[in-house]
Amino acid sequence: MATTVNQGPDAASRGRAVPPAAGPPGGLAAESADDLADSAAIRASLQEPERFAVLYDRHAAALHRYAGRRVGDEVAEDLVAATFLAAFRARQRYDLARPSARPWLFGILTKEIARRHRTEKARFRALERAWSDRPVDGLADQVAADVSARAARAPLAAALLCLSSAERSVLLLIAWGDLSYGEAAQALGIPVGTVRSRLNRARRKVSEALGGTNPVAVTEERS
Amino acid sequence: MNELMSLQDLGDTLDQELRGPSPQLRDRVLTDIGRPPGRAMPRRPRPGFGRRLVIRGSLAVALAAALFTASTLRLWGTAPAASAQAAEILRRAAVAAQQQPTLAAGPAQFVYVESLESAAAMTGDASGRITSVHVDTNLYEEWNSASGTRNGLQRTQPRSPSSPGRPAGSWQTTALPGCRNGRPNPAAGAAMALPAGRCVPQPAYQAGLPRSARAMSAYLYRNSHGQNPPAVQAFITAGDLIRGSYVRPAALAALFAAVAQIPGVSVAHHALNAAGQRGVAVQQTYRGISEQLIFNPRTYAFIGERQVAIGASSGLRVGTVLDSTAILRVAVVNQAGEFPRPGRSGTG
Repeated sequence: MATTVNQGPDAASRGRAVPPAAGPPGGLAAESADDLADSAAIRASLQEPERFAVLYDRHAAALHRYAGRRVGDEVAEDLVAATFLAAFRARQRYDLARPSARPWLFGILTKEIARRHRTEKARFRALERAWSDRPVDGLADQVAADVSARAARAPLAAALLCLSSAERSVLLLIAWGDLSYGEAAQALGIPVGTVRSRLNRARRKVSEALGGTNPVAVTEERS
Repeated sequence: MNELMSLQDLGDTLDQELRGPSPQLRDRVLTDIGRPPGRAMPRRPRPGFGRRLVIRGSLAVALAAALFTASTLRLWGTAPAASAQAAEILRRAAVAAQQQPTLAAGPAQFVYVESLESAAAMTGDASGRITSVHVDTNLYEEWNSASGTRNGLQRTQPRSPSSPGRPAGSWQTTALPGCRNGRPNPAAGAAMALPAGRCVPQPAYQAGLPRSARAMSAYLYRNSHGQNPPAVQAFITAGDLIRGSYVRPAALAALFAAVAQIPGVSVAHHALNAAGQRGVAVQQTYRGISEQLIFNPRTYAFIGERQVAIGASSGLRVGTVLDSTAILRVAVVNQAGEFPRPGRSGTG
């Protein structure tokens, strides 16, 4: 189970509370669960476990969408449930200095998806076949960009299959999970430099599979 | 169009076929969270204890002989019932179980269990390689409602992983909500609000369990809900049953006899429980992970269980202990939070 781990058993008592990201400081609104950072909700959940529910409300949809794209809706359902259960059990070890639990949750989910790599591969193989058989000829689809996007789907699905699981995770966490390089590093428990090099490798492989002649050397980082 | 844009397009296309989280998922997650930890999947490790197990006397000879038999059988790819020496350990465990005094509990009473659990959390990279391991040891005191209808209590105290007798933090107390008439009892600070109208009482005192090996075996397979192969899951369910409730001596003996009939069960050689006590263990292995029930090597009383990585397919270094427990005390008391009087308790 992927959990970020960097504190002793008494982490909860040593961790520092993170002030609410928004809302009037010290006002009544700051007391409501909605205004607290994830880390504060996790800390509160050590004494009042039901406070953990706010993490589900904030992140479940994004996690589900990400898992759904990779392994399909039905399996995503199980993986998201497993992710929150694992996160809840590991919450004592959450690094409270990190206000957003998003990278942590995506990291746990990534581990869960890795266990289902066969499901993922079968899914993408099926998608590749389906898209290869579908001609791009609808009049409404004649917009050039759309045609090129549609034409790329089958080879793209095939290209994702050819990546190592480590490369695929980095690429998809960034492209589909909307994680920054730093967040992906946190999620996977690897240095940012490794994220960057894996991402470049993955992008180059995908680009080549799509017939690109200009391998990527871009390392722009969001946030 | 570069490959990141193509990926965006692919993602958007896939989204069209996704329905998103089902309306039931939130309830399911919150219900799972409110449940005391079972062991549906591998959890965490704890290095630190030595691994040498000294087995004295005739059993050592029996083990050596039977080890040969077991490895020979495996060559033919059959999945025999428990190996001969595992069956012998389980037979002795069944005899030991029957000799324990029966604890009686009324529906309003509580089963008190004191246990140690040592578990490891791992940070891994995307390829499944473990990059660091963190060990977490806790002393648990639980008061679980005998009938599952009253509110129970859980106290935990962090302990030093290298010396589990030493406290390493302060106590935390959590209410465990009971379930009455299909609805959770209101409980201050309860472990996750259970969805209204959906609970089933989980009795900590199970008087109605089968008392024959055959019936118990059927029970184990029938009540296995994990996603592992049936024989693997039945073994895990046996462990869950012992950990999650008080099993009376006759049923406990039947349980060990039933485990002896599960295909693939064998002896594990270096078994330490979470308290560092040495024992003999029977194990079921799957995907490189060995799930072990540990017994006192002299009395054959059940003293705990653990999960340990024994093969590369686990993705862990061989020998990594994922999780271990030690049962220290089991008793019946009248109120949640009430400590048992000496003389009324037993183990297993």
